[in-house]
Amino acid sequence: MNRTLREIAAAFMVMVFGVGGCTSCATALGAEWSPPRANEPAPESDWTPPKWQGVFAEATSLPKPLEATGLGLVERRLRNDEIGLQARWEQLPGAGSGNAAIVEAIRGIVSLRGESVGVAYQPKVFARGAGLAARGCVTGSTAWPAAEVVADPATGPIGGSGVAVVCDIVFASGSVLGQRLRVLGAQDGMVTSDTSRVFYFDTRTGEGGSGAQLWAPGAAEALWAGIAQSLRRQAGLLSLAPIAAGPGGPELTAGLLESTEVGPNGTLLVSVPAGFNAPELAALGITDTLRSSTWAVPREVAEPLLSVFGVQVVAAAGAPFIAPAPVAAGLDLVGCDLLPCVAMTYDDGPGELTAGVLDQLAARHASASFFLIGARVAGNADLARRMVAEGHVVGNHTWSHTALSKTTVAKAADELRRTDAAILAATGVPVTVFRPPWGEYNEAVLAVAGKPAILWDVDTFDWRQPSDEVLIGRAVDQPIPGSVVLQHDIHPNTGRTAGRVYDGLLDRGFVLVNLQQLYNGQLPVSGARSSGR
Amino acid sequence: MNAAASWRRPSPRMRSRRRRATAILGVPLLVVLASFAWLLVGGLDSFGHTADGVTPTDIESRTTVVVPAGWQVAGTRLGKDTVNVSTPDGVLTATLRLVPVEPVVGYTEAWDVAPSLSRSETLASGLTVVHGLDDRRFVAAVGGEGAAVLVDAQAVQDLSSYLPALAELLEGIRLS
Repeated sequence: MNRTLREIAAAFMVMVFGVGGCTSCATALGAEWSPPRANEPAPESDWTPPKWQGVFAEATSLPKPLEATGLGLVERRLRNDEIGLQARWEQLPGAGSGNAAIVEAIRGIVSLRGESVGVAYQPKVFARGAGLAARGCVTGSTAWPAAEVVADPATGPIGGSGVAVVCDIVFASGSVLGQRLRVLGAQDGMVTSDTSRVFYFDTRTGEGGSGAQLWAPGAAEALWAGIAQSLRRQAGLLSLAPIAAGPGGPELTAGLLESTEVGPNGTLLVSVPAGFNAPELAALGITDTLRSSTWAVPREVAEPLLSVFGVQVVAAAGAPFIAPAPVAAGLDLVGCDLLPCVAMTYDDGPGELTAGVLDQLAARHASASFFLIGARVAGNADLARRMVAEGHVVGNHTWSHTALSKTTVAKAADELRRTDAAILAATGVPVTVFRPPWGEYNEAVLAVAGKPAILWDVDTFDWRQPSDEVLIGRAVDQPIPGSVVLQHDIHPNTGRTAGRVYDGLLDRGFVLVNLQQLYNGQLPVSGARSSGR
Repeated sequence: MNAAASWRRPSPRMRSRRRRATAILGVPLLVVLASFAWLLVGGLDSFGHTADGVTPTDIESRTTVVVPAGWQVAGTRLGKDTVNVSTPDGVLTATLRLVPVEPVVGYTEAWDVAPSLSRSETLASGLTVVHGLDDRRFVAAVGGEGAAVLVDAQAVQDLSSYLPALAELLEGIRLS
């Protein structure tokens, strides 16, 4: 090998080993790189990961139930073993669309249950000792385990099969009251369904409706977008592709809005039950939800979607509660085709015992009817006025307790006319019903009366002065739903036992109503009736 | 004889040999230095950069990922079939690697992620993804035509709050 070749070879060797050495060096540098290890200090400690867009935060809990006692509400409880139902709820005093909405909801539940067991629904009562005087919400029961609600005799259907309806007051701010109604279906103690809805009431006006009425038309579409995204993320899906539009989701969302709750800060909460799905979600491979979830719609997102009523409800959040004004029980919405009613009636007053009877009725937020003797009205005008003011029905019992069918038509007409006038003069309210003394009437009497004759189907014979226990037994045990009970507020035993009679009737499940309520606000215009059935 | 006297003017022959030696050693040395510089620049790239959220990063020649803005990006110097990324806070790190496999179904199971936790869906990019989340580890296979990018991510804290960030990362993957 000559020198030139040796030199070229040397140069080649330099290049080979040099480049190789550098490559090894650089490769080693590269190979030693690794991503920042997690236990190293964060390069940007103020950086926060992005959040999902268009989703609602999941609420960890629903508003805590409030104690209903002291809020000035009317407590209701309905038990019917024939169709397998027990329902408890609260109403505002008086009538109004809020009460109508919740009573209608109860009617719907009763109707469905009746159909499912093939029974035409009729209100039922129970023997003394049934314990049905305890009414209204059992605080916290809407948050109880479902099986516990069903199994508890105070809340569930007797025997464990049927429907339980329990309630809780979940919003009481400003003049708005919110009541959660939870409906559970059960078969042999096993819970088969569990849904909730919320009803809102304006305590000043009595107006109200379900949670769905907080939202303006079209809100379901907008809310569906957020709920769908929320359920998608809850299912662990990551795709940022838009969810296909479709009618299924919004339609299902509209149903979910019945359960809308309002948090103390005005956040609206929409619950999605376990087992929920929608075609749009199923198309993404999302299966039925395994658990219920509640999604918080921020106030600023919700406000453009709210109805006028919804804006009012949200605006009330956090304000001191304004309790409803007291309303006479006789003006309450009852529905005697739904609830078992009994009409206590008192003849021959007013007298010195009448005020005590009125006190006992008022203490129980109960109503009754009084057939007054015309000759006694002028001297007891204040009592007559109190009867009317407290919502009781005042009827005509003739001027001098005359047997109308045994006197002339003219005399009968005079007896009734003078009494009508006296009552009108004392109370300012026209008389709409009469009761012929001893129940004696004929067609001529009915004709001259010009108003229906209301008789009775339960006579306690208090005028015979039975013992208190016997009297109570007759008054409490004999009535059935729709009964009209005859007593006289001039006999001491009647006055003395009034409170115990009422308690006994309430314990059996009755609602004590006046005659107007017994006939669901539609008194007969003529003829004679002895009960509300 | 002093030092200065010891220096002699080199002979023309010696000068010629020096020039020759310089050429023989210098040119390769320049080549070596240039190579080192080229590798060093490439190596610096392997130390990473901050993603701008727009520029695609190659996983391989026809596979890219647009890494979310602010994330740290680095790839191993040789064999660019793997990209390492981390969130700006360094809590979550992920490795993206191209594999010539399809379909992607079953990949998360191979990574010991419980099948019940595995999800399959279509990304906004049109690619199919199978992914699973298990404790502090997230694995995914984003598939297309005959290839898949495997994503293996870990975090030192609850990873669920990083899922939106991972979704952005997955949506940035393109296969062609």
